[in-house]
Amino acid sequence: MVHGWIVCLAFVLSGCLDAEPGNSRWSYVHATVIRPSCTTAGCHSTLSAAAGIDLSSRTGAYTFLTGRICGAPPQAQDPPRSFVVPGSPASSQLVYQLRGSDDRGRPYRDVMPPDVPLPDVEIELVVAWIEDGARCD
Amino acid sequence: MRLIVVLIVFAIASRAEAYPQFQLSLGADRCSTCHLSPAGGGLLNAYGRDEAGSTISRGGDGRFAHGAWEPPEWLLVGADLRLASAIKAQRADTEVLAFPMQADLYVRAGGEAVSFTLTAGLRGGARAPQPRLVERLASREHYLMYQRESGSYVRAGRFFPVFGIRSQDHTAHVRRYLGFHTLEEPYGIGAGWFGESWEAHVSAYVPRPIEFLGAGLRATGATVYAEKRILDATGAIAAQLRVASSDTDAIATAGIIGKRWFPEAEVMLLAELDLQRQAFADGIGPTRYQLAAYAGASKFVATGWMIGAAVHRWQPDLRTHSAREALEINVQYFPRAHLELHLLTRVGGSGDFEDPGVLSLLQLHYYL
Repeated sequence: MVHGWIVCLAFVLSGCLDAEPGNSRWSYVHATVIRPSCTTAGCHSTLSAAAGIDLSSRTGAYTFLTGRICGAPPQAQDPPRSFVVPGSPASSQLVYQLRGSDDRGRPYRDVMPPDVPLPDVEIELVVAWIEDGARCD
Repeated sequence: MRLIVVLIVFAIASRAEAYPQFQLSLGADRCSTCHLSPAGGGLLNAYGRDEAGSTISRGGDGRFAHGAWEPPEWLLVGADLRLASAIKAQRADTEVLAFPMQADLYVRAGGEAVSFTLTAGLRGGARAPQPRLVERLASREHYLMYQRESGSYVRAGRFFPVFGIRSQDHTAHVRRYLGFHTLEEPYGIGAGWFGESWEAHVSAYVPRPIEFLGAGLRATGATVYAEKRILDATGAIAAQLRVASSDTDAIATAGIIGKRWFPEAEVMLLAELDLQRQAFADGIGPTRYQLAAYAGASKFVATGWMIGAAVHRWQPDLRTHSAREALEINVQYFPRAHLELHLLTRVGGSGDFEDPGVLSLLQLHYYL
């Protein structure tokens, strides 16, 4: 741990490096992107559930975004969800909302989060998760 | 009449705290010189109310209800009301908003030694659809406190641990991203000690017992905050530590804070820098090292007028260029005791500000 703090200080003193932002597992995407950025008191927390959307739990957010039950195999009758189309970021509304533009680069309204855009690194993490099949892992 | 006041109060929404710019600069050496809470914010004491009508504003009676009614000794009450309008431009979106920002009632009952404090109101939001009135009721603070004449205290209940610069702005990155955002108060116990030129606070906390009592990560943890005033009480330095664990991660935070008042220039500087280690449970990802920073300067240009500038930075993973940054300008006007107008203009972006968002927010703040 001490070594980690020294590395941390070295980063601060020397500027940042380009590095892999982590992995594209849903658990990681939810813990590092969705929960800290989307589930504050006035937004998609259990408390507020803005627009009826509660993204605070890992499994609940997964079901809302993909229309699938976390842990269950994909079913033929899974309702299609345009928020996330597994394997296809270009068809996923979530990506449009995070980037503020659609797959043709046209401006997309209803940008999320509405206060400050997510850094590109975090958007790419979501894109990578969708590209990898949007599994609940 | 009282019923109308109560209804008005409960018709609006959200939260706010103290102005750390007033510490050192206006003769108050610590938050509790003016506030009843050891962490600052909320109810003002008699000295704080007097200052509100003298050094801070351009006059008026700072007492409760402008002095029209004096509560009995065992009871202190107050309220904070904020209305806001904002213009926000981000990427393709431009929004114009007008919304109730805060409606909180404060009640403190008890004697000088033992007291119970309650902060209750309606949480709000800037955007429609808003929840039903009954669903907006929230109490972000309620705690029992024992306090000695020296100011040293022990308290138990719901409150934020004493940590950070404790800005009234819950969107300041050192609050927003470190777990001190709206309604993220945990439940816990805290204690503090005060010396001639120092103060120290410790807190231990557990998650809110019911999810819908608040938002944010539900963690168990502890904090330590120690502050030493220097340079004839025109400056202060502080160090802070926090450890916490939840079902998804464990964090350790270390931070430093600096405060400096330049009397001749009438400029107040405030800065905070925190480094945080976040390790994930079940090996879901690599351990991250994070940075949160704030630096601001405020100048008292005339009685009742304060202008300021600040920069914010949050890096959730120091291994990458992932960062959220903001630059802001504040103009605050205190025409009379109980009243404040605050214009905040913030340019915020990620990385190198290639595509920043702009927020201009005007607040009308009235406190009872």
